[in-house]
Amino acid sequence: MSDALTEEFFAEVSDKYYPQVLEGLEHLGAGDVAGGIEILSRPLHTIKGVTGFMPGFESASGFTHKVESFLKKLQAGSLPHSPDNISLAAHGVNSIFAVIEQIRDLGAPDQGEMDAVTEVLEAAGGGNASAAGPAGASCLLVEQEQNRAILRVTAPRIHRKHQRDQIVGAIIAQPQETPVVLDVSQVKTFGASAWEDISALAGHWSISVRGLAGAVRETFHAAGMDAVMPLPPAEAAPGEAS
Amino acid sequence: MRALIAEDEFLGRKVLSAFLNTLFEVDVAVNGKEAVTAFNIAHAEGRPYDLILMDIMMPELDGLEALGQIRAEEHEKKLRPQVKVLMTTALDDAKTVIRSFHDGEAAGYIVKPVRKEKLFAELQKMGFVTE
Repeated sequence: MSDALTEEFFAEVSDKYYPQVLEGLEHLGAGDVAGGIEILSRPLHTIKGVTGFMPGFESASGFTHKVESFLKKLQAGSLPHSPDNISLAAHGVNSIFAVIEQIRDLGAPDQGEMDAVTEVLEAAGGGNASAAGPAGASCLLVEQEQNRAILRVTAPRIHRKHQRDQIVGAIIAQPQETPVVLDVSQVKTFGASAWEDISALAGHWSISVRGLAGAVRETFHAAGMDAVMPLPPAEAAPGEAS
Repeated sequence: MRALIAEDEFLGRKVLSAFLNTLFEVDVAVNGKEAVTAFNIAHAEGRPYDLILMDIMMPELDGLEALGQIRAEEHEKKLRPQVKVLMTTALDDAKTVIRSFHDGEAAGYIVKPVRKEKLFAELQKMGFVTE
């Protein structure tokens, strides 16, 4: 039965839930948070319930429950509808699909990635305030390399204001003729607000980004950063390099 | 807390009642039609059910149809919170499982025979019992 259930479930995911989720995410992105979460709730509830019943997929059920909890807090207004929180919600929802596909294709989810998403959702939701690092802790190193300033971001998650201020401050501290390279290769998640802060400086400093991967790449493109900050050719998708 | 057991087999009702009666004030319904009636009466009394254990294969009105009517009532009358429904059934085919969660917004699903450990694990997930 479980093979038949898995097959039927993924057919439903593809035909029904994923389109519903995309519609919900579009509403979220357009600022209709309540409407977006209302649309998301039915497919996510189904994924949580059915995966809880599917042998091997139980961790996806627990993970979906955590994303649902974050969405419920947003819906109830106990979390602000900030760009960072909306971005996190969308990332959490996308991660559910990554998790169920990993279990189907590889037999297990990427536990590290799942834990990282859970941690950042809990931190943003008030469940684990230390996950993004204590306020005031340095989140980057600045190095000079061949007439360029390398800003190596060392914190795994960039969502808090003091972190954004540090990055912006480090860019502003560079002479405007010095190219700035933002190295995010150690970063797991990077909030939309941080990208927006940096983009405001892009017309005044020559800023490029390297080390984009996973969720950081997602929020980079979702924030439209590829239009204002060039990627090294090796980092850009085909046809993307300027 | 109040619970409703919708189950057409006498022995099934007896066993489930025995499992639940330490935690809930338990009512029973012998088919889906009675379950919908019991749901409406409980709301009219101002003491809605916290939990419904819903069999699927029942006479008069099956469990999925009954659940559909209950969700429609909740939607139409804006009844909140939605009652938590745990499907307890011999059916384990994929379409029924998925339909229960998606269309019926079931909170859980147990394939018979219902064992106490499994039932309480589901009740724990729903927040009715703690570890």
